[in-house]
Amino acid sequence: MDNACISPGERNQKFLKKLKARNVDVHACYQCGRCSSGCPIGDFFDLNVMEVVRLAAYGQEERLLNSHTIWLCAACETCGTRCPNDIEIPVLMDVLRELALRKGVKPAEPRIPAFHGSFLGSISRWGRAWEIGMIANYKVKSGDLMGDMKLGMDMFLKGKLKLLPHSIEGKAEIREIFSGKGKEYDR
Amino acid sequence: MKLSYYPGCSLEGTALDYDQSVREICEKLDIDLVDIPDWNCCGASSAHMTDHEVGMRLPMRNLLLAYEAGHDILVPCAACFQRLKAADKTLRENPGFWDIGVYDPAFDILHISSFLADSDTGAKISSKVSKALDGLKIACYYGCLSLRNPRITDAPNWEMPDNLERIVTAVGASPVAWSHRTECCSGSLTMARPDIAEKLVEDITVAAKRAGADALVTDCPMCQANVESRQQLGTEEKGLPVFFATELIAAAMSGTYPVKQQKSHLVSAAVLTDVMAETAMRKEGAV
Amino acid sequence: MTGNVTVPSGKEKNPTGSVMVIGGGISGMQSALDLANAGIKVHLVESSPAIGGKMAQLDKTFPTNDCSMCIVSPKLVEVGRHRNIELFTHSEVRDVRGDAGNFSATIVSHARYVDVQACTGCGLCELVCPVTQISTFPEPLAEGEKKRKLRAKEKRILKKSFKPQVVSVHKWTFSVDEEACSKCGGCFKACLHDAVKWEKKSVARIDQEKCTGCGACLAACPEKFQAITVENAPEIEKSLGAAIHTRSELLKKEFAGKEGLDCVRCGLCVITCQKVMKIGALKMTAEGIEAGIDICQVCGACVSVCPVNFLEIDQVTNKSPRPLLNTFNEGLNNRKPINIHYPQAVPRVPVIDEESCVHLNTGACGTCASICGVGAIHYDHKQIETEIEVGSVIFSPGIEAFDARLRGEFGYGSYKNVVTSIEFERLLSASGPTSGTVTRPGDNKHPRKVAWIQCVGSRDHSCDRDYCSSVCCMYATKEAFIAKEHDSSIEPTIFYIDMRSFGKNFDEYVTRAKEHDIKFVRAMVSRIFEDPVTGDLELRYVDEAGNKQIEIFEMVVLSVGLQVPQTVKQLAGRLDIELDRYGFAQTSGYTPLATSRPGIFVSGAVNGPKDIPETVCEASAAAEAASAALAGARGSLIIHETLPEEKVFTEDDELRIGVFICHCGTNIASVVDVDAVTEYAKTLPGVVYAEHPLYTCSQDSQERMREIIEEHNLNRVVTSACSPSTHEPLFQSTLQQAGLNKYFFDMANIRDQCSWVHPNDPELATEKSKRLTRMAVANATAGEPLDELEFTVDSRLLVVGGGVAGMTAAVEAARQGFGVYLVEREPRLGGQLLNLQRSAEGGRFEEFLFDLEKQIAGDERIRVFLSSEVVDQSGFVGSFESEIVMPTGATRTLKHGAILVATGAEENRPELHDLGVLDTVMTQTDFEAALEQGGEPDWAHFRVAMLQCAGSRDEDHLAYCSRVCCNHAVRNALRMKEVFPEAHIDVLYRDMRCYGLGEIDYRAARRAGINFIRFDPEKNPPVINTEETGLEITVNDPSIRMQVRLRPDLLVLSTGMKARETEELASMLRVPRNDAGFFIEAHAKLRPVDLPSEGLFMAGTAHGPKSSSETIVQAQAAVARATTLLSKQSLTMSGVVSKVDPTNCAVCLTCVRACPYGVPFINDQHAAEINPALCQGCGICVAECPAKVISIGRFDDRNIRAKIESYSAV
Repeated sequence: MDNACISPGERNQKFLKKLKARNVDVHACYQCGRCSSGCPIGDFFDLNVMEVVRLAAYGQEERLLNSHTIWLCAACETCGTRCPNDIEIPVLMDVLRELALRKGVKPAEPRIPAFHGSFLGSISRWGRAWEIGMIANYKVKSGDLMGDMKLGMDMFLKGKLKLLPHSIEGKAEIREIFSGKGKEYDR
Repeated sequence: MKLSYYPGCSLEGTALDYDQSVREICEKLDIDLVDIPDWNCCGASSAHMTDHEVGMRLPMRNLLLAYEAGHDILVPCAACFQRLKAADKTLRENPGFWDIGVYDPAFDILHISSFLADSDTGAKISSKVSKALDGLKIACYYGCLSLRNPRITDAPNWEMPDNLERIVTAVGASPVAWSHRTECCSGSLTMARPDIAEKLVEDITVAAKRAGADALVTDCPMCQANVESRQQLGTEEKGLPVFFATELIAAAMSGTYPVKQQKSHLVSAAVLTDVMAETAMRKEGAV
Repeated sequence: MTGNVTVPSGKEKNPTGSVMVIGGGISGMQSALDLANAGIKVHLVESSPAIGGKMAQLDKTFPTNDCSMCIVSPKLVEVGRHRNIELFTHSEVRDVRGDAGNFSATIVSHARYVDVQACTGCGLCELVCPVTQISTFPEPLAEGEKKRKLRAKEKRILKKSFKPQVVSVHKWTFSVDEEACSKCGGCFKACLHDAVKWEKKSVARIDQEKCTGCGACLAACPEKFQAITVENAPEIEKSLGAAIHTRSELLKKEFAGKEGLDCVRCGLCVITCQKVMKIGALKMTAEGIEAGIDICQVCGACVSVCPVNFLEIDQVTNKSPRPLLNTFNEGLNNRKPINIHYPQAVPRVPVIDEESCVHLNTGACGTCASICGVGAIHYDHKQIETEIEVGSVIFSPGIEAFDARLRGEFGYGSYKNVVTSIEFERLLSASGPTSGTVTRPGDNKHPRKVAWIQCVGSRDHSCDRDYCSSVCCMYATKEAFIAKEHDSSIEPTIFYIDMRSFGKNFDEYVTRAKEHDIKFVRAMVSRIFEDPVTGDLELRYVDEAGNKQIEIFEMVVLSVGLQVPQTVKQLAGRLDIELDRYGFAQTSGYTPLATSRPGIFVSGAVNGPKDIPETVCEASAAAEAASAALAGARGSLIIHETLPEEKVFTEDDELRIGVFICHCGTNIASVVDVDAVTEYAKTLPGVVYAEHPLYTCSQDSQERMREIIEEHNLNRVVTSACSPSTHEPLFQSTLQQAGLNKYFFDMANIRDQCSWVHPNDPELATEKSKRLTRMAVANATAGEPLDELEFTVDSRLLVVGGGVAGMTAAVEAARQGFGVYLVEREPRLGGQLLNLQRSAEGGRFEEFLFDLEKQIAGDERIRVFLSSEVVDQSGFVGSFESEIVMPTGATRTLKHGAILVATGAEENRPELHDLGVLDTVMTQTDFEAALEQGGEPDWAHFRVAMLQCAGSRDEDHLAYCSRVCCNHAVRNALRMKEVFPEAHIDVLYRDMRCYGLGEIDYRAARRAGINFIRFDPEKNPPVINTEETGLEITVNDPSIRMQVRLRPDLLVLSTGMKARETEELASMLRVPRNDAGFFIEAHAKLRPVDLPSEGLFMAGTAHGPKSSSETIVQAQAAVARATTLLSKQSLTMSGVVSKVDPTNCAVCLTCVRACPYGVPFINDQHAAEINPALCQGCGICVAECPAKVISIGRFDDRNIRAKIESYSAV
């Protein structure tokens, strides 16, 4: 990673306030490195988990929003579970991903948010996930048209993929939920 | 006994058979499942990973739908379970924040295997076993979300769980000792980064084979689909089928393992059919 | 204020001159000894069957690598035989009633079933007890129900491929008692060799020709008739069980070395099960043994009597066996229901376990009682309640190890090769389950790669163990060290967060470990993966370069933290004393040992995690605090020792020497052939008796030695054992108790000089042991009785230095009833504390000092000399004379019995980073003072950088760690945030050493947003620019692998502590100091406040850097040690002193010049004279005297010559 110099002077206080609001106490870290060593996906990260926590403490929002790590994190909760200081690292990752999307930061791993988008899209439309619709949508979004074609077919033939979506009664409520009204950060 | 039931989306799709086995054994254990009316998707990982508000409000809706009935909520899917627990805790803490007047429901949210493994139910199960799955060596695979984070799931031994082992023993199979029971298989990345999923799944299956397992047993539909679909098998190499705990129970109780069920696996489920055939033969021999 | 003043309510009542000490670990033992040696009666209550506590379980101790057992066992013995210490082992305190000064307490002593007075600790009972499991006993009979024979429904035939190989060696003779025979034919049916003749309605008869001695007939004969009699069975007169044991042992010898034998049909298992255990689950059949697996009670007796390991416990039953685990060995091996806690246990008396003993549960067996030679076993023992009256109570019940199962990711409990650090201590220990060879429990394989994981259950908020356990970094380093010493092929790696080697000489120890290829990795492991096939363990971690590493280890040791046991919390509840949320006692920094209940004091790790020396300190200090209020009643309840009249021998008395060759467990015997040495000793001239005890120093051995001396009427004693410096006084006092002059003794050190230095050459080691023994015998032969000078003790104490240590000591000594001279160099009292502001709890030192001064001024027993210095010192323990110079220039001579050095230390002010040049650079002390003044107006948004180890742990400045700086920095930083919430603070550190409960502040500081940046002076030193124009620091923060640039408004340096100038004082007092100028204690572990010279003690930062409350503890400890001396009317001097024969003295003055202590002088008879009271017995004058007219006790030429001659003699 580059060797640019940072300074605690330039902490992004607004960012730190957001973490506080979500009870993510990044300052509690005493740098034991358990989070990094236990992360199942760590090998694929550009910033290891402890670096994410410490950079957050340094208020380095931008650096974090541009990282691959925040997208590759699978939310397995191993880091947060074993942290001796009870730091909610998985929540930190959630916050970072959410901020990246809200701020329109170009994601370092475009396919992953594309997948989340398609999945949530299908829910917001029907109230439940509809795999075929979602997959199709994801393929368009991510441009990964050919990947997993065989697998998809197998699944389909094994009747694991329904042709038609199941749509629920309360779609209006679901739309309300997705409307973005009354977001907690704006309260 | 009456329970509210939250199947979750995968049990309507990729894990349809999971849903069937759950309903089947609950009927045999005379547990009356009442689906939460008009339940919606819990948002799974995608929601809470990218939008806290949505990630909370989606499961909350389901909780409020189940509020009326007040029965404990049975959840077969580990991801749904974790999201419902998280929403429940958040709501109980401060309903006002979510514009909800009062929220302190009588119900508990139960993940399927902790429910099935409790001593009475366990005893009931073994008493109803018609074909014990003798000799089937099984690696119990929990994955992440039914256990972590214990602050959310209230799992008693999140590092050394034994629910699946207890169930597997109850149906006469033998669990193997291995270390990857709670390792992540990266199900939430499987579409976008199959390469990662393949590596993690390999670590898990290799470890299970080294421990002498014929198959994996899980209680998470994501893990089941991911671990079966991401095994990269050379020719010659035998894959490890991943069974649902309830699938084994159903088979052991009914004494049959229907072909349709066998077909639902992406990796050959022959080990189970063989074992059941053997037990059958031994039974006849004994007679 | 200090000294935990406790005004007894009931003032009119006189305090009781006794103290109850709860807990018999090193803390309780030290308290007990200091009290008892100062005239206070002690009741010592220990819940386990023997005293010794955790220290007895340890193998070696850091940082000296002393053998823990070797240094603790003299204390065990001293406590065990002390007239004024009453031991209550296997006992609990039920309650404590009344008030300080006059408590009454109820002690519940659990039934032991063995008479402590009668038992000799021979251990035979443990040997013959056949039970190895926790049995599942049959339902007890209901009222009036009579015992029916158990009938097995489930049976299993135990057999090997071939038929039983019938063997009748050592066979018993069975015959039928015609009167008793019921003619039932049971024996006839049972006999497999058709040796029983029987017809209906006739008495059975046994054909001795055909009988193989299997005893099937005996087992078959119904209980109510018992018509089969047994003869030719050794020990049968004691009991059937005893006879079975004897025959089993004989057969075991017979078949020794023969593996996988089939059943030899000795019948012992069947007889045991039927006749001893009264179960009858076993039966002999043609092909083997038939086991009634459903009625088996799983006691394991059949298995332990089987001479050929034919039976296996899980084969004879359908229940799962529950082996009885040895708790002292942390469950790593098994034990019997009757068990001696550990080999050196005091008292060395077994306890019978109520859960597993067959007799106590079913009334069967009873073998142990039948063989006990002294009839010490009483199954009818009941628990006893004792009411005692005491003036104070010391609460030192000790701690336990964290339950590693709570950190499931490490697999402890499921992965066999993952052990805890305390288990590893037992694996290292010579008296442990593997006799000190390092093997892994999974498969007894010798591990090569071994990993230690630190902070398991410490510094862990997630499982409510926020505190640091203080000892783990060092004990892990030590265990790695010793493991490598035991087996050089071991490659230890220690995974840690911060290396907390904050104690005296600890850093050097760690450096030494690194030189011995012990790898230290600064990283935490998230989980352990076990290879199900090999049992090896995979650890994953991210190294300091940020790279993921995967490493395979063969064994992992979890460095588990310390915690307060639940039982101790309950006890605290019964005693009505307050604990903090972790279960440690609530105390204050100024009265560190006073609990919330007046008159009850706390000591040891239950007062916060701590190591052995600090525990010993607290123990002495607690003794002082507990006895201060009882000073009036000192001596009222104690018994004085009366030694027997000393026997006088003349030249023509025959020489009768007794020699004792010590096994020292396996310490000596594993290398040296002690039998051979003993046999050899018997051949030496004058030797009339020789033996080889397992531990010569153990209490029972010492008792035995006394008896032997009398019985064999010995007039000389020699032991070949360990070091005279630790053990000679013990053996000598035994001689005295046997009426021998203690100088009729010599000691050969065959441990250090033979077994330890020649482990790989047993033959030569044995030869050398013989020689050393021979030389000792020769010396003893040449020995002469010496008489010891007795003289009175001046009860006043001189305290040098008027800082918090000196002031506390003065106040305490006065409360103990002694006069005190307090000499301070400066014009006012207070020392370094005058420059500091607040204690850890936030109290103002100013007020504390004011209070102390008031007490000193108000106490006429204390004389204070300000602006004064000690310029000369003479005399000896008990009667010193010191000359001081007062501000007027006048000198004055003070007489006193003991000296307490409390010269303190001061803040170091190195010329670093423009300290003293720029006013933007200051020390923590300056900063604290400035903060106390409310800081400066512009501090509101200040950026402060703190630099730890500024001139500490640095060869160019202070080489050592000053221990207090990390906590000081954390406290100042927190205070800054408290006063100026908007201020920003960065702390640059190497290892945050916030040991013990300091960790809680460290966490608070992090959560307050204070940023901690780690640096390494070699790999990434911070670049610090200090200019008039401003400060700039650039440093690489390894936690983000990036450069960080700080532009602080203020740079605060943690500069550490340096000793005061004491060179003259040290040479005047003839006491050693280390390179850093701190005084060196007499023993790093067990005598932390004693100086090497008699009658001299030290306290506070003169000994090394420490906090104010640690200083107060040491001051009280030093007073306690001095009190053991000052409270005595008189002392006796060593008999080993120089003596001049005036007749041939040439008055050449050689001795006068040679003596380093200036003792010899020329008397009016014109001959050199040496005051025996002053002589230190160094012997220099003896060597120098050209006329050879000076002689010295037992180191005379004749002694030396005797030794040398016997060395060369063959």
